Amino acid sequence: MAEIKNFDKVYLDFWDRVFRLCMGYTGNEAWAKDLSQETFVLVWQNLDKFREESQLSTWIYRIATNHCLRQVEKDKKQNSAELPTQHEEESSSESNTELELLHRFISELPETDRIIITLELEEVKQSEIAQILGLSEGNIRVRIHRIKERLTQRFKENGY
Amino acid sequence: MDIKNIWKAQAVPQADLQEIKAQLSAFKTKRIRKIVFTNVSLIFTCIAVVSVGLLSQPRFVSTWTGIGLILAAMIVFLAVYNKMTPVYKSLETDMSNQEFLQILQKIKEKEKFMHKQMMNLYFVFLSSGLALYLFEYTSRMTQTWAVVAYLITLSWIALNWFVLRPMQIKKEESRLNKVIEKITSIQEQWVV
Repeated sequence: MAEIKNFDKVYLDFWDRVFRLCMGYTGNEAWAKDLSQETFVLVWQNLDKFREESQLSTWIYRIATNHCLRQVEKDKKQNSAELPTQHEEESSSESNTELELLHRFISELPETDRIIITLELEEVKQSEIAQILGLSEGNIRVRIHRIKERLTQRFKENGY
Repeated sequence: MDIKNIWKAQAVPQADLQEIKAQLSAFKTKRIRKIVFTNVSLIFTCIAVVSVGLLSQPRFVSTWTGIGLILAAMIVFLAVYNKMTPVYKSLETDMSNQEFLQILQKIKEKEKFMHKQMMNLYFVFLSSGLALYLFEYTSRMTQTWAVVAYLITLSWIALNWFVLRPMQIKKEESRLNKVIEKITSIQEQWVV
């Protein structure tokens, strides 16, 4: 029972963050919701394995990002392949909010960059991002800089 | 352009404890159902094989060998399934992304190799088992009917071996190749 209570707290504390992370990876709300829920099923399954050697957030983010990466096993097309064509993009650009554009631009990035920028936007420390991905902190810093530049450039190209 | 502010302003569907509890419960049911289904189908297969043995009371060694080989074909399936389970368990969900992908790639490569081996063994055992099993019963038929029975069986075996087997291997290989290719392309992103 204590475990269930513990899970409830973890779920309520992390739901928003995990959902936004999955949303950053997929760019699709329904898919992101499915992935987030599946992530919490994995968290629930593995909760007794959490040894507090790492932060709870690092542990949960690792589960979530690995689950996102594991989508390569499924036939479902990756989001970048489902993006509208340039023509569609232009015709509907007026109705697009900044957030929709941001999701679109993130979706254009390679998978690891999508994870990195989403974690950065979630204000996760760069040292923690490095731990989640298994990369050096220096590497993460360089990548974040490049990704931000690219996103800013994409906004500029769209009149922002 | 303050990207962080745009990001933080996004609406998130409300956390729904009841929904996640329903998911957890569905997950538990699914797991139990899978175990029950595997066991029930195994028990039924054993009952069916034993019944065939008891009812037809084979006297030839070839018939028993045939039954044994058909059973071996099923065991091959189970053995591969059981061999893959611990491999998948080694894939810890809380590894770093880099470790996770490395192990996932190894698993997929192993799966590809094992699937091909398994399909070949499965068809060899099943086909030779069937051919041997038939021998006793065809030996009691007239020569013409025995030839007809073997022609039909051999055509079925040939169809399996030359059409269905390569088709299944190719289909699975192409699925796994796509997955491996995708994993490799993500791993390449690690290099700045």
